Amino acid sequence: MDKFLGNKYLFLFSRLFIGILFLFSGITKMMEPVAEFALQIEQYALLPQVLVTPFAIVLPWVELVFGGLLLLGIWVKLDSIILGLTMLSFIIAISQAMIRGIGLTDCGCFGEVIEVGETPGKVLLRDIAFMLPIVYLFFSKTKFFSLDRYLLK
Amino acid sequence: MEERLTKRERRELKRQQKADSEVSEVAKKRLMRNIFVVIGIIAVILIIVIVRAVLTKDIESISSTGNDPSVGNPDARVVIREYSDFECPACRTSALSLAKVVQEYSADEVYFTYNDFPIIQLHKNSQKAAIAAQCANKQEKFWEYHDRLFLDQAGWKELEDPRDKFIAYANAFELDSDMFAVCIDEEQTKYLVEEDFNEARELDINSTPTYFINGIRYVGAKDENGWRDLIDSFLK
Repeated sequence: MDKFLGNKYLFLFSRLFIGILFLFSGITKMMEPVAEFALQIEQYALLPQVLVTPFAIVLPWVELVFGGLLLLGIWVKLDSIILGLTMLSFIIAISQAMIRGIGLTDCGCFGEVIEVGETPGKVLLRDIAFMLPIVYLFFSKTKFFSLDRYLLK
Repeated sequence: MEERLTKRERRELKRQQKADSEVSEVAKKRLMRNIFVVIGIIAVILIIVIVRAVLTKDIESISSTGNDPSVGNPDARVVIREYSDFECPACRTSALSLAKVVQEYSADEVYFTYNDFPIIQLHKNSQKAAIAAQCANKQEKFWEYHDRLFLDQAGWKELEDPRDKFIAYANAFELDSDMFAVCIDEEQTKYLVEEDFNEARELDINSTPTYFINGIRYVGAKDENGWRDLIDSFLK
């Protein structure tokens, strides 16, 4: 198990993959009007109305900042917790939409730059798959090619 | 006190002190790193915010196309520029009250111009409605058509294809229906709507309705009294 959690290449791959994914997702969301993203969030009918716009403003920044930090290898454990909770919120949102039979025109995953056009089931499976490297990063026991390692030298 | 310790105890104490200093050294490095990272994050956020603000054009720098439907004198004391979406419920409330209030002022007091900002990702027929309104504008019936689209919003927004409905509105206003039908299919008309949309994006407009009153941005709907108070505050 220690060998698996200490595998530096798996760690680096997970970090770069999740880091780039969230960084890209944050940038694409920032490129669209807040109102459009807020309306995409509204589609899920999960958040109280008063929280929709603040969430639409804050989420892209969280993705951008923590995706960027993860990419650089700074605060990897904290990044994996924050991004893990973010991904968990997506999983909960899409699951409840599926259970309640809410028709989603687009998941809003990457703003309007890329309309994924997937079925909710596919989006759910994809999000669960993305959760695996995040969990791995939280438990990983290496700091291979991380800026953290050099900053603490 | 240290003198009373045995050689072995002194060695142990030194080792302990060394370990403690190493721990505090690591803690210091950690603190420095955290400060450095937090400053870095703030700097990046500030840079992005500043770059976005610089790239966002000012309303004054956007020249009106001249095709935008308007009422009043362009040199009026209060210039209102609206960016709206025919399918958005908040735009409906605001547009209908503003259209009524504007009539209470003279042409030299208020100039009002309408611009399209259809959010088609969420309002599937909004762009088609904007195109239809542009066609009514070509036959100088924009404001009547504008009011009808908003008043009867529920009657067309869910339609799979609202074309027939839009032509029926045109007929109700005695527009040349053949000309109207050709117009709504023309690329040129679509281009006019897209031009407004791109203009809105350059102005970093995030939601509808958005207004610029004498260059100052106002976001969100207002009722009749809200409009009167606002216009009066500019006329004082």
